[in-house]
Amino acid sequence: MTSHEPEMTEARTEAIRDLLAQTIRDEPELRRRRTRRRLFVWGGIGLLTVGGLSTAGSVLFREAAITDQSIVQCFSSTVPNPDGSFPGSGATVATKDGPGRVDDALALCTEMWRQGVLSPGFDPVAPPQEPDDTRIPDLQVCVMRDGIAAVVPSDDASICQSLGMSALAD
Amino acid sequence: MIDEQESDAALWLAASSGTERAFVVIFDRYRSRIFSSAYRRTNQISDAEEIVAIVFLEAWRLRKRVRIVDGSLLPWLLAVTANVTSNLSRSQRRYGRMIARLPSPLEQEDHAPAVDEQLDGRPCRQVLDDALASLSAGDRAVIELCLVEELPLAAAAAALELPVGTVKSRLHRARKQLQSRLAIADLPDDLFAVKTTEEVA
Repeated sequence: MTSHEPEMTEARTEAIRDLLAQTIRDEPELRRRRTRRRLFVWGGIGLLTVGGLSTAGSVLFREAAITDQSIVQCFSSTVPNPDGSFPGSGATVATKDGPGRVDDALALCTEMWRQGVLSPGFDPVAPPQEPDDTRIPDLQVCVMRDGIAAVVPSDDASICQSLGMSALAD
Repeated sequence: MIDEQESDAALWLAASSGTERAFVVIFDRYRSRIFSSAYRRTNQISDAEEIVAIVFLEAWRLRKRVRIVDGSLLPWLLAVTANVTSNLSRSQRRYGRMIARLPSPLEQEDHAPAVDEQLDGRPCRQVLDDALASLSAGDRAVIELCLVEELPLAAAAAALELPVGTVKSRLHRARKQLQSRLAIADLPDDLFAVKTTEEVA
């Protein structure tokens, strides 16, 4: 450029800059690509949401049947021991031919609560308590992963899922 | 984030993928050079500015065909400038709607320097313009890149997508033609000297 050569005017330079940027923004191919990307992202988020809800639903509303009736676990608390197990006692009803069988887990654990076996401060060597003096909490029947029933003291209908177990199927 | 010091290749890759900022950096990097080239041909600031806009709009339209020569976009942009300038009215028609969005040049330009230069160099310039206009479009593009813009033969060939041999023969033919047309004018002897790659390097 010689010393006599003029330069582009500032206003038109700025206008050309804007024009080029606008041209790129309005490019149909890029707009389609942006739309596809947006659909892909939102579709992905939608799928993740549906998947998450399904998983949460299956966890929250998981139900199972008791497949092992040889024993029932009657929990005395929903707060686990340091080793992860729950305090309480296993119980069964002896049958004539050997192995025990529990047809009504709730009834058996209710009876144990009535006898005070699951009450705090229960002394197994003390004389039997008067059954009527023992308060029986609300109980929920859950099913553990191995198919054994677990009866939990709680008035929360979803306590089984909270403890990582299934609710008893109807 | 676009670094203004990025290479042309990196900027062009980002720009052609739709990064506006990269395209604007390329525009700012080469607009003065394109403007000078256009102004030398048109002697009109407003026309030269419109050519700058059209060249970059063409670069966007033809983005899949852009050639980066020795790491630079400039040779290709200059080749497009030569084509656009040769077919200005057609280019202005193609981009008329966009060009109409630019501010009016009459409100902001000082034409005095341009007019002075036009008047001072008019006789010689008119002879040159007439001689160049007599060339075919292909020969004129070679002359523009090799003699006016002083690009090496290899760079001009790459920008025009032609073999070097073809560029050489076109240059030779165009030079002969120009020499015969300008024989009557008192022009410098080295007017038609051309740089080889080695000289530029």
